[in-house]
Amino acid sequence: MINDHFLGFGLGLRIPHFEDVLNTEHNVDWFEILTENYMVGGGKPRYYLEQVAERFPIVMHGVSMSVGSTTPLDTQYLNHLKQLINDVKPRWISDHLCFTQANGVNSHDLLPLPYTEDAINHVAQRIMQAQDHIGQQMLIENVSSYLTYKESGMTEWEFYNEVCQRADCLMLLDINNIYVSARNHQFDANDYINAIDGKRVRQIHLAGHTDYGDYVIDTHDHDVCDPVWDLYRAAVKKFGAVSTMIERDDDIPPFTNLVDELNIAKRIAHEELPDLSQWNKEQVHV
Amino acid sequence: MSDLARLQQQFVAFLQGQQSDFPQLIGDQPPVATDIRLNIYHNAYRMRLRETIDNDHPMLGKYLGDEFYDILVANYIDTYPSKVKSLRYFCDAIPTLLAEQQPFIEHPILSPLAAFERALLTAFDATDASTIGINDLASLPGDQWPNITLSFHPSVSVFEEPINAVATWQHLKSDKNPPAPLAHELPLYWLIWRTPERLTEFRNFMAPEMVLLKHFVNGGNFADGCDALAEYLPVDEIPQFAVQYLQQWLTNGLVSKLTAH
Ligand SMILES: [Fe+2]
Repeated sequence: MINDHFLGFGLGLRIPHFEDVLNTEHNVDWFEILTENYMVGGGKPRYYLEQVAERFPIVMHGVSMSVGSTTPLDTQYLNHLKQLINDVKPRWISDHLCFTQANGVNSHDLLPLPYTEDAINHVAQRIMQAQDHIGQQMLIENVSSYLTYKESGMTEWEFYNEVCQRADCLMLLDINNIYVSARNHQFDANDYINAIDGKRVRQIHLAGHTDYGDYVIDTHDHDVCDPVWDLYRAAVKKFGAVSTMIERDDDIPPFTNLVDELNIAKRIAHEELPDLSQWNKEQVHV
Repeated sequence: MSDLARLQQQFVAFLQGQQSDFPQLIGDQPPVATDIRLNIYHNAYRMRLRETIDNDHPMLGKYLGDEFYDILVANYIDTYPSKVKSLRYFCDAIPTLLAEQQPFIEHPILSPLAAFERALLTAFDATDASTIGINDLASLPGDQWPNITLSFHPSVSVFEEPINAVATWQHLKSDKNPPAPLAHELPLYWLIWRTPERLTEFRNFMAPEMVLLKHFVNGGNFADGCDALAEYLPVDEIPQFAVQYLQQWLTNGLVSKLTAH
């Protein structure tokens, strides 16, 4: 059964692709925008976004809500976010399971939290507050990490599941981040996927990374690699049809290359889910 | 302070290169040494901020050359750590740093050059507004002229340069050697705006046009604006020049609203 939230197969909307997205024939079903890039008054970014939003479902992906921070939630940011949600009317919005700032300084990075009971309470509370403020449920994404804390008393997936359950939020599962963290912390990525509470997974990210042998860095500047495609297949088997997209942020190739790469995801999903051939994207647009 | 708060403060202090106990909180996970793990974050922090400066200030970077640019980047990240959620605003204090820190302070072209680059960026994504054209002026009854006031498109700004920063920017932009820095006896004024086609434009303009524009920006009407021009133009030529300026603004797509009171 394909659920109502399934949007099909999407891409991150990137500036070099604006014209191609609007003026070429392609089979990309939806687009994700980086929230902060559109928190500006107007000009080209907002102009193109408006045009894209007229024709495709949009979802918003933020990087700076800092749900894990211990300083108060930034209400000015949440108000901006609310305003943008009102303007763009996205299908949903997401941010990350991390903190991005402390001491009044913004790291502009997705910094990992310790996996403790304290942190679960704290983060779940903050996600609930944010959801209250914007008046809708959010998706929270798992991040890549390169270190663990001595005080962590559980696995990342136990932490992630528990936070989302207590906050009653949804999940944006980044398959590449699972792979990257699995390599960096030597756990089995399949254990992660198997443990995830499937009913909360609303969206999937796929991306490339840079492999340094002993460790892997989440750079979003390469194609999706084979082990990540294998994990994606496992995820589709477990979770069914979930809106899936590729994130590419650096060394951005021509739009058609990303469309080709997205078609790999589509093929895998169709192989695992015979029902998908019945699905028709016009249902989404209604 | 909670353990979680302390951990976060130490992490960010570590990213900023400050002394912190953060490494002691990290689990040992061979074969990758803790130092390497920490450095991934440290490098990512500096790289991301550096890329933001690269993107915002390409001409400044060209002018400085690698050696001085590296010093600028390092000093800027240390002196003005990001306090904002959007990297769009991270570089806002670059002109200030260039005007107050050695060795940059010795080169008075640098701060205005950076300020001009930022003024262009500000026009690029300023709030949208519709604009009116020259026809809206033609239909205005003659007796209403003295009382008209104008609202400008939000992208409109005036850049005042004490030194040949814009000429320097233009040379760098077209891959030519920049001219020698030359301070002006009186400041030059540049009008910056975004066209209805969403292109950022600028042009040099003289003191009387600038004075009239600022007069309208501050809410003044046409008649008082003409009075303000008496300092610059022969009295009998003022109305003719003032109407010309206005027509030019309308043609350039600078004016959002004309109100006849
Ligand atoms: Fe992601």
